[in-house]
Amino acid sequence: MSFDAVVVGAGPAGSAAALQMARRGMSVLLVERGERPGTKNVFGGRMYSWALEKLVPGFRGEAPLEREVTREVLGFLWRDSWVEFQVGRGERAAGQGYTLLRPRFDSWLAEVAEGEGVTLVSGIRVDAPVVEGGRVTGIAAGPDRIAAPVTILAEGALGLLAEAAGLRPPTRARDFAVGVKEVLELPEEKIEDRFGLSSGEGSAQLYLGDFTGGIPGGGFVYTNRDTISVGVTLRLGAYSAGEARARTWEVLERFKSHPRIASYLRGGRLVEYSAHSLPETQYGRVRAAGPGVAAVGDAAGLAANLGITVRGMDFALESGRLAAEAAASGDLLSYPRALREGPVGRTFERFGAAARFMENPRLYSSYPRVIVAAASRSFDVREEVRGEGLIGIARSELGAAGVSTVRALLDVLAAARSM
Amino acid sequence: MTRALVFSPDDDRCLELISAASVATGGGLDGVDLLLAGPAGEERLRTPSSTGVGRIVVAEWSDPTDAFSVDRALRAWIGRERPDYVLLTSDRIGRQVAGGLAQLLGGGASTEVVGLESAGGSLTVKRMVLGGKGIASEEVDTPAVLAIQPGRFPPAEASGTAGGAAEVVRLEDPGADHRVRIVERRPRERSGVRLEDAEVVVVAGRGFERREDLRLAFELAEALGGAVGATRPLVADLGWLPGSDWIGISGVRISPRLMVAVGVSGQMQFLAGALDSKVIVAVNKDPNAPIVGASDYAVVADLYEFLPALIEVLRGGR
Amino acid sequence: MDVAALVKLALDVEGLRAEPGEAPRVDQAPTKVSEIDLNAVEEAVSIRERVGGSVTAFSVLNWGPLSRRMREAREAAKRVLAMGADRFVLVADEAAVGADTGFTAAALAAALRARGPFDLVLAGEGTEDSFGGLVPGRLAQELGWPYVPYADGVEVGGGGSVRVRRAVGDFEEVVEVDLPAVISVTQEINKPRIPTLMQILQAGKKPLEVLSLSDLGLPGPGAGRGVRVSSVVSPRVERRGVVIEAESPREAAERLVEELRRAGVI
Ligand SMILES: Cc1cc2nc3c(=O)[nH]c(=O)nc-3n(C[C@H](O)[C@H](O)[C@H](O)COP(=O)(O)OP(=O)(O)OC[C@H]3O[C@@H](n4cnc5c(N)ncnc54)[C@H](O)[C@@H]3O)c2cc1C
Ligand SMILES: Cc1cc2nc3c(=O)[nH]c(=O)nc-3n(C[C@H](O)[C@H](O)[C@H](O)COP(=O)(O)OP(=O)(O)OC[C@H]3O[C@@H](n4cnc5c(N)ncnc54)[C@H](O)[C@@H]3O)c2cc1C
Repeated sequence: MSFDAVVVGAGPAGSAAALQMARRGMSVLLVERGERPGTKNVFGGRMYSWALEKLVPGFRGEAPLEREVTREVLGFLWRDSWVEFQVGRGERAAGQGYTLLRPRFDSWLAEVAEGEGVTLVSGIRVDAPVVEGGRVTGIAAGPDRIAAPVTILAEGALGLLAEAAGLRPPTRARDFAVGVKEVLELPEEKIEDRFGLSSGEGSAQLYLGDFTGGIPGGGFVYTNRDTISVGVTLRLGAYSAGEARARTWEVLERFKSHPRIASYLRGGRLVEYSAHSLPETQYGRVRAAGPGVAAVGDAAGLAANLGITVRGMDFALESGRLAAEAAASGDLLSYPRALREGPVGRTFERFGAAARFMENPRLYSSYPRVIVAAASRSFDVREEVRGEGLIGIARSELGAAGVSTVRALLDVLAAARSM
Repeated sequence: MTRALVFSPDDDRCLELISAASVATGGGLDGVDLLLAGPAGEERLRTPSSTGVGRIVVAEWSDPTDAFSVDRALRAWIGRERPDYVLLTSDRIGRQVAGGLAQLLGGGASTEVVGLESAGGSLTVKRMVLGGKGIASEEVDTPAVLAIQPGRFPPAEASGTAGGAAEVVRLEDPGADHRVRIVERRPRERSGVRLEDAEVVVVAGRGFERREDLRLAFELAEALGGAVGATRPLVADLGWLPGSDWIGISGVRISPRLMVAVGVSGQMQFLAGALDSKVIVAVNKDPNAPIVGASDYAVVADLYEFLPALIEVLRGGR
Repeated sequence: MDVAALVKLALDVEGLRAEPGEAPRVDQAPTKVSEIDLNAVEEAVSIRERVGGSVTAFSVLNWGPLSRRMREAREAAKRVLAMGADRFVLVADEAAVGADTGFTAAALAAALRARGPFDLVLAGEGTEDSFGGLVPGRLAQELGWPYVPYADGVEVGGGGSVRVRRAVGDFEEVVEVDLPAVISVTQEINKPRIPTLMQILQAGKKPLEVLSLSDLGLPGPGAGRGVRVSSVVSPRVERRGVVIEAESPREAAERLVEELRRAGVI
């Protein structure tokens, strides 16, 4: 049994690569260790859709999408109070992507690939790439070896195979970050009422506040069709993986019981929960291709850790497509350059600033308090009016939080630049 | 004429099935025939005979513990009388014969029946499905073969008519099916307790590391005045409790006043057999184990630390 | 020996959403090969490995919607073929969805006759989603073959018979049964093999045959249906859900005993 290409991992990156190679007339084997694609990929909230648009132009009618994101919310929680900034966009012009549930989405995309002639085998873990004379010549799984001129590694963030193929440096466990998420079920109309959405529209909401207990991180709420994804992510470098998870559950409980968040979730029934470590942004540290082999998606370090959220599905799809095109052209080694010069590379160049900004500790401690306090005091009519404008209130709250006005102004500038 | 045929390897369970038969037919029963396998003297005939059973079919030659011989006796009677209902206990013997008899009669069949309703001449049975996640109501056509879980119906009581009213019919041996031969048979070592009838059951699961450690479960059961049961892996895979039945979908169903599940994760296949427990206590070191969510009281602790303390408190409290 | 293994696509009850008092969402839940049927397949394949012959798997689709279940059935078939079955016969027909055990057995009997002859039929003692255990017994009656359920071991001797080791009630038995026969197996009989990548790839080339009821010359279940499921609801389990936390085992024990006394259970 022989194939033109073997792809390891049927996540978005692997399925995209397999699909595109099959379209270009190659015979492709796609191997996934989960019982079916997506079963191991419980995470994911929102996907920016530009890359899927290129890969499957008609996806809107077919893909199992939950809601189109037309609303962005940034919220600050302090004790029982809260402030939310909403950005709404005109109907459907947004292009801000979709919320989705990974098990359904991943198995759909793999099916599309199968429809193009890809041979999908689930329930098999690939143990290693086969390396002969400095060239990857296929894969080894259990007692079997499959040889192929092209091997695409789409195994996700751990990247052990990419490491064995000599594309990735050994994983460092430096900035250990962990996310936990629950999916709660609520009737469709209830979700639309509570979030003020019309049918099919969705909201993506991020929160900063004291619920993390000062640990860098935050919370998120995404609306799906008849479920809500709610979770927190925390950067817990100092803890062991086990402790970090325990901590994270505590923080999630605190987040969920904040009155504002609780009002969204009321009556929701838990249908799924999951914990996951977050990938570090590795862009630039991974070689995307070598002789006979390419890494795509998270295996190539293409996930951007943005503090509270991670963005990577669009990069996974795009990198998979680009690697496939390179493989089909007979010059796999042209893939890294196509990646660097395309939208993925250009976006990552800009992420540096955003990532640095998100490391600012004030974001997780003083600012939520300042913003909530300033906003609520400016509406507080019990107090005698002292002729103090909003700026005045903010300044006195900043003083109370121990942050200088100049410092705050600099942060605001940094925020504007990085967003 | 609506007639029912009743058989259980256990004479007490026969009385439950007699009650079930009258519920199944909404009281419109013209007669219950009871099959007694094995020698039946005066003594054995007396109780059922006083409950309004019409005929007691005695098959002296049949061994009530041998499913093949029971099958033969049932078939002999069914071939002769074609009853509308056949009621069995839902144990391995009942489940073995139910399918073949239903196909023979060309009728409906349900096993693991937990409830019966009869309205307007149609019979609805309730049974647990989907690993305990659903209770199905099934409309069953007659002739119907129903295998009923033990303990679901009260035993039939003596009716007003004086004992001995039932007609006793001797059933002849139609001859064995020579295609099936039991070449070896030995009794299993039995623990002697019927978990289905126990008021308190301590259930041991894989959380116990060694067979010797089950001593703790037995001591706890003794302190509570109950019996010890186990999950399937302990009985079937490890053989730690020879002669005991496991609790669950493929084992026995229990309905005690109190079940204490120790080192049991609470997979659905297990829980399906324990849902009727009035109060469930879980002892597990994993706060996320499913049993914790399915219990009235959960103690999140290591059983090796907690059980000795609990046994001591219970003993001291007496 | 030519062996048939019965394989049910059972609802994957783990993934099933169930709201107390409401119908579980069976349409949304995936199906997969019922666990114990994999033991039957394993036993069939290992018998072939010991004495030669063939293994054919048979399945009647019981759950709808058919469009979705067909895809799952193909996956299931692939797995069974990868374990070593030589071919897979799938009876898929709208009219058989939701059919009772009597009809399922009749459809299986027709398929077995059409693709036989077989010496032995192996099945699981029950399926995960219903655990009725009726189909193999009904099938045996339909075929006029002897039926031996609950096999913990099957030994193939010469002379057209097999020996089955099993436990029923208070007894352990060894039963010798003449072939052809229907035997059901328990989970303890063996450990189903996990297919390798190569075996899965080769399974793609083995024959999967899809038959409708009319291919088998069968009418739909129609009026003769023995059992109709009128409703399924999830049980309401009202449990108190008290989690006892304490500093020491002793304290936890005291609190538990106090709670149980107050609740009147001890
Ligand atoms: C907590 C969290 C939240 C996130 N939220 C978002 C979000 O909201 N939006 C967004 O765009 N991105 C998000 N991401 C990032 C996104 O999930 C990834 O970037 C994306 O899934 C990468 O796709 P992939 O195909 O490269 O890898 P994966 O999706 O990880 O897929 C890898 C596949 O390979 C399989 N596999 C692994 N090893 C083997 C092996 N040895 N043999 C066979 N198969 C193997 C796995 O089972 C898996 O199916 C999030 C990530 C995390 C961790
Ligand atoms: C078709 C089918 C039918 C089945 N039928 C049945 C059935 O009828 N009955 C049945 O029981 N099973 C049945 N099973 C098996 C069932 O799915 C489970 O595998 C089984 O119930 C698990 O048994 P367990 O809880 O003892 O073990 P495990 O699932 O291994 O759980 C052990 C538990 O002990 C806890 N633990 C470990 N150490 C300690 C400690 N020191 N202190 C406290 N807690 C500790 C762990 O946290 C864990 O929760 C069936 C399976 C199938 C597929």
